[in-house]
Amino acid sequence: MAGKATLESSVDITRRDLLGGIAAIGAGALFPSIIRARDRKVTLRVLGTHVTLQEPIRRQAEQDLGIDIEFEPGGSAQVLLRATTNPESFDLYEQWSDSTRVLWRADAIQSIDTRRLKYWEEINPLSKTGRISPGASPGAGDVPNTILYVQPDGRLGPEPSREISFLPYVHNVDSFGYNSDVIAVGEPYVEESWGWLLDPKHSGRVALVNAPSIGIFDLALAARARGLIDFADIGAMTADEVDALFEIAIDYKLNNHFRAFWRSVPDSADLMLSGDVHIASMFSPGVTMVRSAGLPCLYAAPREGYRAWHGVMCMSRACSGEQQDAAYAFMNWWLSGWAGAFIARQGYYISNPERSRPFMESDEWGYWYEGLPAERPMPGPDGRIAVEPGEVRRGGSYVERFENIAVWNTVMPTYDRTVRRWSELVLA
Amino acid sequence: MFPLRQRITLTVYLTVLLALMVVIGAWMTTQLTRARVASLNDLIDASAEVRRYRTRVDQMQFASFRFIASNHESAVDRVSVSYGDTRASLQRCIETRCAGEPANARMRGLLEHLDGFHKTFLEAVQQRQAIEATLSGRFAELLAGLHARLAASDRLGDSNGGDALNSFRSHLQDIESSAEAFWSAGGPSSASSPDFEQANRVLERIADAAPQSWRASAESDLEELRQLYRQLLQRSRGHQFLVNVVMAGEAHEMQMLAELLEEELSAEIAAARDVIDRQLRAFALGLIALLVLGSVLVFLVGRAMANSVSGQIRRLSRIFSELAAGSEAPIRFDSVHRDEIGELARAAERFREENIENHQLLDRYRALNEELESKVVQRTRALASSNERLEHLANTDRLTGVCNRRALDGALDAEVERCRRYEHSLALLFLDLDHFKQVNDVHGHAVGDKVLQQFVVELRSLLRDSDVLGRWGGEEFIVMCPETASQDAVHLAERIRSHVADLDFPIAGRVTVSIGVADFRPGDSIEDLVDRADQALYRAKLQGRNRLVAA
Repeated sequence: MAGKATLESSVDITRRDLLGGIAAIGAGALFPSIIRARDRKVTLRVLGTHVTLQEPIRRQAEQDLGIDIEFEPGGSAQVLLRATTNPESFDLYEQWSDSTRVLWRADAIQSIDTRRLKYWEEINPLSKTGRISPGASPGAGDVPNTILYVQPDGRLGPEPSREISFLPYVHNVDSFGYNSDVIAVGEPYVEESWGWLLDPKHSGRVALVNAPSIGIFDLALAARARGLIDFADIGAMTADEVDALFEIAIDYKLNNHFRAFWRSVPDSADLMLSGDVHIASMFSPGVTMVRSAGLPCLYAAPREGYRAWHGVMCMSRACSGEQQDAAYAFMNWWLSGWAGAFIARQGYYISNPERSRPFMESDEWGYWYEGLPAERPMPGPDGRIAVEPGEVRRGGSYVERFENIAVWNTVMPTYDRTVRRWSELVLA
Repeated sequence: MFPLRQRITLTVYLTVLLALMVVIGAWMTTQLTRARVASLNDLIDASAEVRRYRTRVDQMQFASFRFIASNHESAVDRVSVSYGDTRASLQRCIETRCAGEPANARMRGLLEHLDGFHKTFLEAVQQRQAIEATLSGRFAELLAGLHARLAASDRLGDSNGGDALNSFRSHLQDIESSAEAFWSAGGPSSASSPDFEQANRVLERIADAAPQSWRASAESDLEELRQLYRQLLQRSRGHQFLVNVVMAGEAHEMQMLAELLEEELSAEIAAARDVIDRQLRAFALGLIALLVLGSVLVFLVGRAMANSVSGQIRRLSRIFSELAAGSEAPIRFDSVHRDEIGELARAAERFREENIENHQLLDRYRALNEELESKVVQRTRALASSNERLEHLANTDRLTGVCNRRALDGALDAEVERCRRYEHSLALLFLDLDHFKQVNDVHGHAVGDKVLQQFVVELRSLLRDSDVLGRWGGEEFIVMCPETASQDAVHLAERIRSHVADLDFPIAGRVTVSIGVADFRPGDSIEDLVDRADQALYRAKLQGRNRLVAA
C-alpha cells in the first residue's frame, strides 16, 4: 500500500501508466474457465494466464498447503482489466513483468514483504540486478529489477528495498521458431537472426503473435537486423520510431508477407503444422507442440539476442488476513522446488533453480538448465516424451541464454499508439 | 466338344453376356459420373457459399468497425444479423460436409474465428456502453458536483481562492475533455492525461479557506473521480485492445482463411474436374477395351463354333461326295454326339454300307457281263474264221490253193472294168499242161494232182504280187497281169515255159506247158480277152506244144 498517495505525482510514472502486459501469452485467451475449489476452507483465488495456472500445479499446492485454491486463467487483456478495475475479485495475480507498472499505478496490488518470503535470499541476480552473471548485458526495456523494488517515494525502481511489487518466479527467453525442413538450419547466435522474419524469401509463410506489446519487439528486432530502421532505445521507442516501424511492417503486409497473427500457443503450432507458416515468432511450448507432432521446428537463438520475459506474482490490494497468509504460503510453496521442476519441463526457468534441482533427475537438470544433451527420452509436464535422446537445448544453458537478451517485454510509453496502429498492420 | 445346339447356345449366351457387361459398364460410368458431378456441384456450391460468406464477413467487419468509429447503434444489429446468417450457413456447410475434409477444417477455423470476432465485438460494445454509462452517469455527476461546490465556494467569496478556483475549474475541464477524448482522438493517450495531483494541490489551497465539510466532500469526490477516471482509462484501453488487436486479429484470420478456402476450393474444383475427365476417359477406354476384347472373344468362340460345325459339315459333304462317287473308305468322323452332325455322320455310315453293298452287286454283274462278252467274241471269231474258210473255199481251187474259176471271174470282172475305165493295160496268160491226160492215166490221179500242185508252187515263184493266178479248169490255168504290156507278158510267159520245161516232176518226170498270151484291147469283154488267149493257146498246142503264142 505504500506510496499509493504519491504515485500520481510523477509525470514519468503517469506516462507509464499503461495498460501493459496484454501480451497474449497463454492459450485460449478468450475462453476462461474457473477451476473451482471443493470445500469451505480458506480459498485462495488466483487470477492469471494458462502459462502458470495449470491444474497439476493447483492440485499439488492444495495437497501441500491444505488450502483450497481457485485458478482463474484468462486472456492477458481480460485478466489485466479485471485486476485493475476489480482488485477485490482475486488474491494473487500471475502475469508478466510488463503488467506490473499498470497494476501498481492502478493501485490494484500491494507491495510484498520480502521478510515473509522464505526463499527470498535464494532468488538469483537476474531478477534482483538484471544480470544473470556479472558480465551479462541486461538488455533493453523493463529489466525486472527496475520495476521490482518499491522506492521510498512509492515508485518502482532498481534500488533494493524490503518491499517489492512482485514475487520473481517463472521466466524465459522467446524468439522465433522455424521449420528446418523448409528453411536451412542456421548456427545459433551466429547465423540465426531476427531478420529472417522479414526475409522476403519467406513471404506469405510468416506469422507474428497478435500482441502489440510483444509483436512490436519482434518486428523491431527483425527490421533492425535487416538494417531497415534503428532505434535510440529499442526498449523505449519514440512515436516517430513506432510510426516508421509500422510503415515498414505495413509495406510487408501489403505484399502478403504475413500469413497470420496468432492468438494462442496452439494456434501458432497449428499454423506451423498445417504448412501455412514456415517461420513465426513463437513461445517455447508452441515449439514443443510442433516438435512432438513430428515437425522439425527449431527455436532459434538469434544473434541479436532474445526477447526475454519475466513472470510476476502480485498480491491484490484487497488481500488481507487469512487470505494474505494463504497468499504468502502459496508464494513460498512456488519457490519451494516442486513447481520450479514442473515448469522446467516446459522449458521455463525459476528464480531459485537450486531449490528445484532435487525435484529433477540429474539429466533433466543437465538438459534444461545446463544445456547438456539429453541422455534419454525426457518427459514433458504431461508425461509425454518432449525431448529425444541426444537433443541439446538450442541456445545453450540457462546462463548462456539469459546472457543474450536483446530486450525485455515492456509496455512502452508509446503503447497506446502501437495498439491503434496494430489494427492498421493486421488489416492492411 | 459340346453338342451343336449347346455350342450355338453358348455363343449366344456369350454375346448376351458381353452386351450385358457393356450395358453395366455404361451404367456404372453414368452413375459414377453422376456422383462425381454431384460432388463437383457440391464443391461449386460450397465455393459460392464461401464467397457469400466472405461478403458477409466483410459486411460484418465493416459494420463492426463503423460502430466503433461512429457509435451507430443500428450497426450492432447489422453485425448480429450478419453474424447469425454467416454462422448458420457455415455450420450447415460443416455439418453437410459440403466440401472435403481439409476445407471442413478451414471452415471450423473460420467458425471459431467468427465466434471469436463476434464475441469480442460484443465485449467491446459492452465495454463501450459501460464506459459511456459511467461517463454520463457517476463521472458526470461527480464533475457536476465539484462544479457546483466551486460555484458555492465562489459565493462564499473566498479571499485567496479566485485563481485557485479558476485553476481547479480548468483542471476539471481537462479531466472532462480528456475523458471525452477516449473516443474522439482515436483512443486514450497517456500524453493528454489530466493532472490529478495538481488538481489535488489546487483543491487543498481552496479548501484552506473553505469549511471542513466542504473540503472533505470535495476531496472524496475528487478522489472518486480520479478512481473513476483511471478505471475509464483502463476500460478504454481494454476496449482499444479488443478492437485493434483481438478483433483485428480475428478479422484478419477470417479473411485469410476465407481466401485460402476459396483458393483451395477452386483448386479442388479444378482437381475434381480433372478426376472426372480422367475417370470418364478411363471408363470409356475400359468400355472400349471390354467391347473389343469381348467382341474378339465372341468372334473367336463364334468362329470356333462355326468352324467346328462347318468343318464337320465340310468334312461330311466331302465324305458324302466321296460316298456319292462310290467311296467305301471307312468314315473317320468323330462325332460322338447325338446331335444333327452326329446323325449326318451316321447317315454317311449307312451310305457307305450301301455303297459297299452296291459295289459287291456291281462286281458280280460285271463278272457276269465279261464272261458273256468273252463268249460272244469267241463265237464271233469262230464264225468269222468259218466264214473266211467258206469264202476261201468258195474262191480257191481246192487242189492247188489258187483262185478257182469263180474267183477268177470276179477278179477279171473287176480288172477289166478298171482297164476300161482308166485305159490301163492288162495281159492275160492262158496256160495248159501238155499231155496231162497221159500223166493221169499213166501214174494215176494222185500223181497228177501232185504235178498240178508243184506246178502252181513253181508258177507262183515266178509271178509278181499283183499278178492273179487262177485254175480255169482241169489242167488249165490263167495268169492275169494288171498294168502289164503284151511284150512283158510274153517275157513272163517265156520264163514260165522255160522254167517248167526244165523241171523234173516226181514220178511224172518232164511236163511242159503251153501258153496263150492276150492283151486287153479297148472294147474287149472278158470273153473276148479270154477267147483270144484261148485261141493263142490253141495255136501253141497246134504248133507243137511247149511253146507260147501271142494273139
